[in-house]
Order: sequence, then C-alpha cells, then structure tokens
Amino acid sequence: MTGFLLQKLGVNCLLLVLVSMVGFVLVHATPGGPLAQFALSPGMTSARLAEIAHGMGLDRPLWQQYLHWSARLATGDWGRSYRDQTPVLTMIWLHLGATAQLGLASLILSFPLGVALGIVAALRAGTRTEHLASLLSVVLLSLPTFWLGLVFIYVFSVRLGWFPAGNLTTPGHGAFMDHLRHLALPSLTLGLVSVPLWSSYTQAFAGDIWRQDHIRTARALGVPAWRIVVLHLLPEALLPLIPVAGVYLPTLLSGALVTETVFTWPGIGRLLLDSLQYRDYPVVMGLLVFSAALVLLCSLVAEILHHLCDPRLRG
Amino acid sequence: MTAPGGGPVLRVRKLGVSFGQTSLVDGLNFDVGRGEIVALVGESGSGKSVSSLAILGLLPGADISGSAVLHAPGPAGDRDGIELLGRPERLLRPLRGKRVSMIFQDPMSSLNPIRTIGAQLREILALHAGLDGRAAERRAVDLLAQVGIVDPQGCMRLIPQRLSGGMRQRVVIALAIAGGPDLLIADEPTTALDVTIQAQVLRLLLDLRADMGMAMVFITHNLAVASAIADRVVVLYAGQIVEDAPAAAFFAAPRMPYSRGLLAAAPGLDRIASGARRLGTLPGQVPPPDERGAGCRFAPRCAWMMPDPCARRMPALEHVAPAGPGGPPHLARCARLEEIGE
Repeated sequence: MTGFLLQKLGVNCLLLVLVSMVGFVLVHATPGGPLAQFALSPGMTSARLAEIAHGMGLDRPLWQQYLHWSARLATGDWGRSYRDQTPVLTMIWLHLGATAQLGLASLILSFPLGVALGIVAALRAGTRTEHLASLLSVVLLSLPTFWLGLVFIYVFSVRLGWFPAGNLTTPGHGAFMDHLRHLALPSLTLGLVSVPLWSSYTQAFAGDIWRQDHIRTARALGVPAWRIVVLHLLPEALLPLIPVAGVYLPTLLSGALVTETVFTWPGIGRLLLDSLQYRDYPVVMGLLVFSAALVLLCSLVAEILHHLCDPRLRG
Repeated sequence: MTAPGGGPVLRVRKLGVSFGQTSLVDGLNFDVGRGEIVALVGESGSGKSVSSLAILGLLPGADISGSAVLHAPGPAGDRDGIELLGRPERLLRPLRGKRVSMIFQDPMSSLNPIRTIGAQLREILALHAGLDGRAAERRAVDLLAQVGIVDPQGCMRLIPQRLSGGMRQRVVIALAIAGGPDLLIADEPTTALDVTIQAQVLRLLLDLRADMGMAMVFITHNLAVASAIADRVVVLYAGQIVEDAPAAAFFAAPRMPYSRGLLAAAPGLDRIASGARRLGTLPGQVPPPDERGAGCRFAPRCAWMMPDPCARRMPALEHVAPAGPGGPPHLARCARLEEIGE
C-alpha cells in the first residue's frame, strides 16, 4: 500500500508539472494580454508600454517566463495579481470559502437525492418507476445551469421575493440566517444539476449488486426487504462512489463557475473568469495549479479512503 | 419417512409457473416427507429452479397457480398446513429461513462480500431465533462448528473473500439452518465445487438431516449426486414431472425413456469398470416452452416413439407397478410403459 501510494504520488507530481506547462502555454497563447488595460490609459505611449512589459517580464521568451514562474512557485511564491498586487495565494484563499460553502451545500442536497433516485431506479428496473427516475435524471442533466439559475432568480427572487438573487450577504445584515438565504438559490441550482451524476452511478452500481446471488440468498433466508436495501445493498453501492466523489468534488471548484457567475457568488469560479478577462496570468496560473493539485489530492485521498472502507481491498 | 401423525412437510399440487403467455412449468405434483430428501432432476430449462423459487415466492413477475402447502408444527394452522402460493409477502417472508430455507449454486456469490461471516450469521439469528449479543455469538460459533468449519471463532471475523468455495458453501448452509427450518431447498449446492469438496458437502447435508430431521429438496442435473443423497428421485422434463420413484427403484430400473436416456448418458465409475467406454447420448434438446406439442414432450427425442399415441396425446403420470399398501409409489409418464417394460 505504501509503495503504491508513493508511486501514485510521484506520478501525480509529474502530472502537475505537465499540466502547468500546457496551461502556461495555452494561457499565454490566448489573444490579448495584460497590457491591454494599460494601453487604454490616457497619455500612454508605446515606449512606456514596452517598459511596463519589461517590468512584468513579458518581453522574455515563453520558456524563460515559465522557468522563472515555476521556480518561484516551487519556493512557495505564487506571485501577485496584475490587477491589485494582492498575492495570488491570498486571493485564492479569500475566494475559496464561498466556493466551499456552495459546493458543500449543493452536495448535501444532491448526494442523498441522487443516491435515493439511483437506488429506486435500480430496484424498480424495467418498470414505469425506473423510466420516470431516468427521465428525471436526463432532464436535470440537460438543463443548462445558467438557464435554471435565471429561472430560479425570476421565480423565487423577482416574483415571490423569497430569496435574494445574488451575493454572499445583504450589506448590513451579517447574520447567519441572511447568509443561508443567500446560499439557497445558488446551492439549489448547483445541487439539482449535480443529481444525475450521483443517480446514474448509484443506479449502475446498485443494479449490479441487486442482481447478485447474495441478495437473493438474503431474501431466501427471510431478511426483510428494507434491511436488504439499507444494510446489504446500500453500503456495497456506496463504496464505489468514494472514488467517484474523489474525482467529482474538486471539479465543483470550476464547475460552479456558471452558478457563481449567475448569482454573483464571489467564489473560485468567479475569480477565474474575472482573471481570464484581465489576462491576469499569475492568478489564472495559480488557480490552474491549485485546481490540478486539488484534483490529484482528492483522488488520492479517495483511493486511500476506499481502501480503508472496503474490507475486500484490505490486504 | 413420514412422521407419525404428520403429513408431508411440503405438498405441491398442480403447480404451474408462467411468464405472460409462456408456460414454464405445469401440473407439478409431489410430496416431501418429514426428513425425506427428494432430488429434483432434469436438464437446464426443465423447470427445477423455477418451481422451487415459485414455491418460496422469489419469482417476481411470474404467474403462479396451484398449491404448495407447508405442514409445519406450530400453533398456526397446524392441521391444515400453510399455503405458500399466493401468500402475501409480509406473511411469507417470516417463513423463509425459519420454516423453509433455500440455498443456491454459487457459494462464491451467495454471501454478502463486505460483511463478516459473524455479522451475517448474527443477522439471521436475530431474525429467526431472537438471539442477540453473547447468545447470538455463541450460537453462531456452534453453527459454524456444526457445518464443519475448523476454526469457527476465527471464521466469524472474516469476510467471505478469505474462504474457499467449499467453506463458503458450508457457511451458506449454516445460515440456512440457523432458523431451524423443517425444509431446505438446495438448488445445485454442489455443482460449483470440486469433486472432493462435493462429497464433503453431501456428507454434511446427510448429517444435518440425521441430526435435525430436516427434509430437503435437492435440485441437481447430476444423477451421481442424486444417487448419493436422495431418498426419492423426481425427474422433470420440459416443465413436467416424467418420473417419480424411490431412489433405489429409480437407479435399478428407470421406466420413462427420458430417465433411461439420462442414466445412460451419465458418466460413472461402474461404467468404466464394466469396460463400456461409450456414453449413451440423448439426441436433440429440450424443447423451449413455446414449442411444446400436444403429445408427449419427449416424443421427438424418444427411441420408442410411435406416431400414435406418443405424438398425439399427453400421457398421464401413472403408477408403474401396483404398489403395495403403504409402499412407496413409482410413477412414470409414458404411453408405452407396458410395451417397453423394464
């Protein structure tokens, strides 16, 4: 196990380097650049612009820029934002909380709902109930997030006035409840569109298990149906969901991008989008490396967790 | 093997199983006496498993007709027995594992792969014997010892993956007898095992019968296995019983041509000893449910077939010889029984 983990860790580090290289090239290859914002300043001359570019190190060859950036990254210096000179790590940290809240709230909503839907569909395979559950999944899967968000804003915010349409809090109302009310619509949106992920995996896993002999044996020995579902089927179906969660959870960071934009939710997704628009290379690259590291770390943790939880995998 | 004053443990009458228009099994009649081991023998698709699953209410979506009465001791409905067919699930479920248990072919997949043997035994004991805590633990260890697990205490903590196929089937049997059932339906319980392990498991089942007086329906396609364990042999062909005989009489002189063919096609040591190398073969295959004619279902493959009456009328299941009063009956389904003789 330890050897396996070390090997995995080594592979992950290599992957991280690769991702950062490709990302660096792609980000710098995008048309436009961070100089655009200076170019529009009144009285800007091309000589002054070149001076700024030189100051930012943008006039050097790309490979030199990469080496410079990655060497500093390795020592823990993630650079500063072009926009306001805030350190990149501080920026990420400030936006991480909002995204984590949104991700957690949507997970609390989507995971139980998706698992329940998947179990029901697996148990009622071939019946109208299964078709209905599948239909619901497909509908949720095909709903565009931005559209669903806008519909919720229109219905619950504009028409009914139940929930606020955006931002973390109402200025002057710092209370916990106010915060929860702001969280409601974005987490509902992100939660609903994430339901099909959990339901489809659960349906596949639970369906396989449901057809196995040990379920039939339990039935033939008089174990009540609810016990079979809750104590026999569910734990076995949840185990393979651990690695799925390990892959999925970090993608929430970027997956929440649309939701965060619609609801002006100041999270990581918003930060990425804004930074991209400004061609704020240090922040974009910082986010890229951060997300990639998070993906690799989560899948590693999930793998360890899976090994710890599944008695079949324990040596 | 009928206990004084008691009827058979299981009495099946006119059992029919169909899915929609397709009839898989029809008109099945057989009894299982107390402590008796009845082998249900037949090729794949003859309806062996389907019949027993139907009796236990484990065949969702099937249309089931007829009657299957469980005569079990107890305050409820002792004299008339308990009708299993059509019994609502909430009343049927408590009987399973307690009065009738069923075990299946593949011991590799018959146990929950992520729960320990101990947890699985304790669940059944809590359910059917009302035991928990220490008492359940002790009883579980006893059961494992009873089915011949060498280190029952250690076995309790293992998950099935750590056990061999034979050990797993022993654990499955321990689960099946934990509720102290009067009847065990065993669906090919030895088919997936090595021959030496097969013999051990058969030995175990015979011991359990002797210890607990538990009756058994033993489903198998293997006549050698049937001869080793059965008191009575019931041969199924294309969803019908074609012969029902005491084991000794059956293996000495099967009467229905299909049974003869089956026996001739079974490899056995006595055949090797007698120098006969060639196995008999049965030409053709079992007709699928929707291609069964009006006549004898075995007629198309039968060496003794005559266009009339075989292909025209379905022969009845008849007494082969006038059985003495109280003697075990020998029934066979063949229109030319007398002409063919022994």
